[in-house]
Amino acid sequence: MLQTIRDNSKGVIAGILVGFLVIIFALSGAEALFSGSTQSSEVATVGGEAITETQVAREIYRQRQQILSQYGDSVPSEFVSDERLREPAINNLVQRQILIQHARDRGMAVSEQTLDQMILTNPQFAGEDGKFDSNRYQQVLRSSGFTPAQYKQVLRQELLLNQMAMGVGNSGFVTADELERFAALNYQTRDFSYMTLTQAQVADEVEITDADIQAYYNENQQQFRQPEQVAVDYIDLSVEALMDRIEIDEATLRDQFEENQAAQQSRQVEVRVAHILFEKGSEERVNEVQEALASGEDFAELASEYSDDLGSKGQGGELGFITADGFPEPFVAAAESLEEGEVSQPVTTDAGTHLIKVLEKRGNEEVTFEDARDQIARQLKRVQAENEFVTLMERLSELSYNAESLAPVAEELGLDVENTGLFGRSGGPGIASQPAVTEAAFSEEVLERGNSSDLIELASDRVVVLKKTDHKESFIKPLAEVSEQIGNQLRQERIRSLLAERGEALREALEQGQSLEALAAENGLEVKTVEDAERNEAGIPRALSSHVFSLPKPQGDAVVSGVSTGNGYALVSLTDVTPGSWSALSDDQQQSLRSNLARMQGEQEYAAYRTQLRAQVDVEQ
Amino acid sequence: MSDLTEEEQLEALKRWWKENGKWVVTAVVVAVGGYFGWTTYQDQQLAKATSGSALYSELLDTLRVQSGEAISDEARAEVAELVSQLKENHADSAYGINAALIHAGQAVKDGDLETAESELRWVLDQQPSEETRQLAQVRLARVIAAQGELDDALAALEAGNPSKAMQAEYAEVRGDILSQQGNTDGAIEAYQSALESLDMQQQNRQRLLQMKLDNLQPATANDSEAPGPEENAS
Repeated sequence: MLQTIRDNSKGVIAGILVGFLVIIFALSGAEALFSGSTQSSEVATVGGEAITETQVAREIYRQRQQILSQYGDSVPSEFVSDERLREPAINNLVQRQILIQHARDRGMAVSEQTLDQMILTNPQFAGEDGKFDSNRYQQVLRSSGFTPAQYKQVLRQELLLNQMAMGVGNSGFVTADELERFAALNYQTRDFSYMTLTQAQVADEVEITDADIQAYYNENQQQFRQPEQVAVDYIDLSVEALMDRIEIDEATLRDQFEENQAAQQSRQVEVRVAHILFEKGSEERVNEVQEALASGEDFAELASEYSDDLGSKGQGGELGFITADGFPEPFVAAAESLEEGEVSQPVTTDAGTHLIKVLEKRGNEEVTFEDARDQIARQLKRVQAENEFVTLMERLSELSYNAESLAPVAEELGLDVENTGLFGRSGGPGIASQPAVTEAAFSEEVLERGNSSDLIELASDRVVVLKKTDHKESFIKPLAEVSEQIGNQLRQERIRSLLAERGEALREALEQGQSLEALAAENGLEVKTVEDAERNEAGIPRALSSHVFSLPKPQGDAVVSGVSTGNGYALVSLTDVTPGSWSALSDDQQQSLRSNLARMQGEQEYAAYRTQLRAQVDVEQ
Repeated sequence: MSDLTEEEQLEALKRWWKENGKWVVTAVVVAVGGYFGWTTYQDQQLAKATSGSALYSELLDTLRVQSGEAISDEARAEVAELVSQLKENHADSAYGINAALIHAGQAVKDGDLETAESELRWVLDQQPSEETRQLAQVRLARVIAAQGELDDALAALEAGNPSKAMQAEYAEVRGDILSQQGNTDGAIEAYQSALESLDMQQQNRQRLLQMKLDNLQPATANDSEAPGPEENAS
């Protein structure tokens, strides 16, 4: 029976099925069926939502850019390596995801219109006329690796996070009586007298004998072990070095120059900028930021704190290279009039008020042959040297393999052979400071078998080959070599303990009721008296001042105590404590203290709030 | 069976439809209806959320323009109006709750502790989720303390029952209240516990707590156990 229906009503049933599919597609879009296939692999899930490898890669990139823009290119590359940044990047994404979910669960949302409005008024996407330019929008997004949908998503999330932070963190406060108590505590002053027994005063009494040194040497032999060392001959083959040997004649240089000129005709001035955007009506914040800049605060940090341009604030306000036709006219004019590193006066566009910083300028120089000569010569030399490098590298590899010594190899190739001198496993000067070289020098192949190493690639355009010339086993350094070092060390130790001993004795005498003055006279020390000393009073050693402020308050009698300072032992007699006063502070001080403490309080509370959220969410990694 | 005539086939289909047709139609209607119902519901939720979002943004803007200086009376009235709208229509979302928190913060700044207290109490009355409850509760305790009602403040703090993440906050406030009450030992204990549960990265906070703690050093004369931090340069 069923079979009958199937056979006979094929047309009808198929029709119904197709009808269903049509309805499903119409309702949800065909996309829904295929969207799963293009996603990259999951790194973690937060409350059931995935964090993908793509997101992690983007976050690592973002953090790296942030570190580089903050500390410059001098940051060692291992500090910004993928491995190093991966953990923090994932943590950050997880934290973010938790907050976003929290915001959504608690009924927060951002409308399409709001997002569209933000995109339309973002100067980054404005065309020549200062109005939104959709080509430019697409281009900017592509260059930062976003599709429009992804960009909107990120923007939406930024807005939600901001709304949450403003509500929870920024609503933190500090009450009037908390401020008064803070002022009383922080601006408390203390009166005290002190004298300092210095190292110099006990140094004469310390004597270190040869027997002491000998005894220490005997007891601590292992401290004086010289680790195993090796010396190697090496041939260092690099494009850089090869370039030095190449000569380029004048005529070739001129030809190349003409060619470059022709190619450069069409280039425009390009300026790489960062900006801080203030929406209309935030003049006070503009002033605030200008003052902060004047006092030397970092532009990128201020951007991430103050900028209303959510698209760039996370990147320290950076917009990349702008061209004359991509941004509103006043913005470009201001950017072009600045030198590298300068920050503009406030500039007004449709989007609001900008402070613009020029990070880099290029392309506007009128180049003469003399200016360009060295650079062109370098380029041409490099091309030639790179060719030679490849050939030489192959031959070096062939010849050094099984070679008795590297000297004839170097001679054959027209290169130099050099020796490192002895160095240990922790490396040495020059080329031995390269971990790859040290590792190869102590490898079985080189150290024990005495063969040449393989080619060690130090960079894409530099290789080294090694061969052992000397090897010294680990040994204990003889006493004569280390006796001075031991003597100094013992002396320092002895001085310190003597100082502490004397200091403690004086402190006990003080506590027994002897006066500071009497003790000073007895020991040839000088008493200094400080009145109304603040915390961190200038001229008082830090250790002494923080000790004085941690002493109990005197009730009638002075409180006496002693403390080791950097190079001495101080004896103190604390006579009076005066609380600070809120009303004695200037209006400005009060104002800034109030807002700083409220902000600090809010930040703390928001941090605790986030920790609490994290504890409530199911995170799998 | 395949030798049925076309007429018989049609007849079979009709019979099948008669038997099952009702169910098929019902199923389709329920599915489609359910789907539309669900999307309508979601759309409504979204519409509600975005309207809250718009009001909330307006609130933030009104406050932001005034940052740094005391807020003008006009703006203050606008803030109050926006907050009351948010509280009335969005009490079940973060917009209503956060608006009340913001208003409480603003009120403290203006010295209006009563408004601050009532806003925080309102937040707690909404039975918010745990992290928000604990936050509002500790703020409430501080506002009550600022009005001089130290015993009530302490009771509000006790009611907070903080989880691990919030312990440092609570302990510090507890220390502040106890030290105002003259309970030095209790305050010392509270500050110490705040220091212990503090995130090590919060150095400013640590310094402040240490300062509060040091200030309470028992004032016994000739205290030979005064802590001498053994600091040596070399």
